[in-house]
Amino acid sequence: MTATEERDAIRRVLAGDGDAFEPLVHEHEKLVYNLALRMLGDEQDALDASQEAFLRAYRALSDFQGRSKFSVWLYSLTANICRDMLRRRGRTAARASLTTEEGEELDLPDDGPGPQELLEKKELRQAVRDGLAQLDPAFREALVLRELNGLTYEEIGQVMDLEPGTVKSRIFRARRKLADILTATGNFSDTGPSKSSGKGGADR
Amino acid sequence: MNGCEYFEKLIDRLLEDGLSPEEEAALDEHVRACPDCAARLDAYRTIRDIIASDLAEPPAELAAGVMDRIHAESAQNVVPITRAKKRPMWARWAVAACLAVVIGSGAWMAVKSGDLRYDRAAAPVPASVDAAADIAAGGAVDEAPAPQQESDTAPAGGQSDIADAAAPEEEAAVQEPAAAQEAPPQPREALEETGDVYAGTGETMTAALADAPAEDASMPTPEAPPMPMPEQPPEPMPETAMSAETAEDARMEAADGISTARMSPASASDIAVALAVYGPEGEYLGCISDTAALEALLAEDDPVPGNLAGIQWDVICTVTYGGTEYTFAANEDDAHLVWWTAAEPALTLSPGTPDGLRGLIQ
Repeated sequence: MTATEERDAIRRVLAGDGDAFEPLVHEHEKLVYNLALRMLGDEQDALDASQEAFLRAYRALSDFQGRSKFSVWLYSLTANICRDMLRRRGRTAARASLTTEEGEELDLPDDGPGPQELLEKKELRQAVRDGLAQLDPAFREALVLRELNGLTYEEIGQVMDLEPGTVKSRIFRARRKLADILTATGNFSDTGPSKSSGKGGADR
Repeated sequence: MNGCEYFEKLIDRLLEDGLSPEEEAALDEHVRACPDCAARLDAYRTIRDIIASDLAEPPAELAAGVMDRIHAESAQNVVPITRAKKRPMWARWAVAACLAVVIGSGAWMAVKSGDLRYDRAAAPVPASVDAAADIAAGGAVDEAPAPQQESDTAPAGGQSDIADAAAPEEEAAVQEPAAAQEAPPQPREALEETGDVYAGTGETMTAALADAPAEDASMPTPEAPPMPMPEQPPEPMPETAMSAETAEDARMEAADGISTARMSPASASDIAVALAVYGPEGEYLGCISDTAALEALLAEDDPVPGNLAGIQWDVICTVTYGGTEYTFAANEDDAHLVWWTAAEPALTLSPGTPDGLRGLIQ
């Protein structure tokens, strides 16, 4: 969906065409759902939060002024709902990871490119999910908005009502904490200089 | 020679903004010699890549559920608020409940719109509080049989519970306000109604809990006579002493179905504010029951007013606490509680915000 198509859909919804909202849902549901999933760590909660976010967006669409991206506005609604759900849980950590009721890891499809050797390791992916769940919710939210939703510091600041500098600091601390968790759990214990060689900008 | 801390920041910047060629060269040289930083670089990249790529497919019912709700809402439109006059009752109820707590040995109470009940069996409360609650809710019981207009939302047995409030065995409690007599005759804190405005529907309910010196412990009610609470330790409230408006309020309350079922004992000294929140199905979600809890709540950095714009809010009340006025509100759909200070931008409440009290200050 192009930006023009998105604007047209919003206009149609505002004109009373409720069905015009459906393409907007489909366009954004994946990242909205995954944001909620990462923040909450529970599929059913993530589904509930996502649906609630879209419904609030629909009901309050006339308040969307277009000053920010529609997606960022949606993420704001989503994050807000997730925060409230977490608060109701008593600010406990996100429920650990994506597992089925039987405790089996869900077979999640891979989207997009990534370091193939790492993505092939389901246990590492699970370790990242588990590590995320251990982070302070505010740090987790900042990191997920950055890495998953691809927001800028400024956009994350809009969502979290923080200064960009604070956002940057939270992301840095979230990465450090998560890396510490992954290292402590042995996921990088055998990683040395030779293994990192050729993987990133520092080696280019 | 830069230490690992410096290179850690370089690694972070590498992922965010990129590095200059010189910095990249320095980092590369360092990670070849430093296993820790090499592992950190690897971890940071892994974190970034996995979070970005580990995307679950949203369930099909996500969009379907959203569109179903949208279609349903379009069909039935919004629930109009038809009982605007009843809003101020919450404040008067809050006044009564507050006074009951302060005068008596204390209890926190919760009021839920759509369900007027007084159920002693549900949760025992001190006798004096019962008395005050009876005073607040009684009288009308006999005068105003509860209409059935809310019966679809009121829990079963709710109406009979109203009768329970005036049952003979309750009168014993009214006659024995022992705890109340031990309490100071005038509360240090008084609940003060400050007006009725309910944005979005043309009215907003505002009730402030203000610190007040003992000599000022009064209950001004600018738009309505105060609940006829005794100034001295409570005595049974003769039905004949109830003003016509109070009786009407109580009658509306009976119709509205305000519940006092969820009462539990607490020490009056522990209570400055109690705020109970209910979910859309009437389920109890939580309560701020004492000063410390309120302080803890207000100390949190949520909500973010900018993020709240456009959401339908049901204002519960404003509370003046520590010299700052806080507005409490709940969202009807999931009844989560938010608050913000008067200094922050006011939110626009949407027309058609469903009625429903989600909390009570006392």
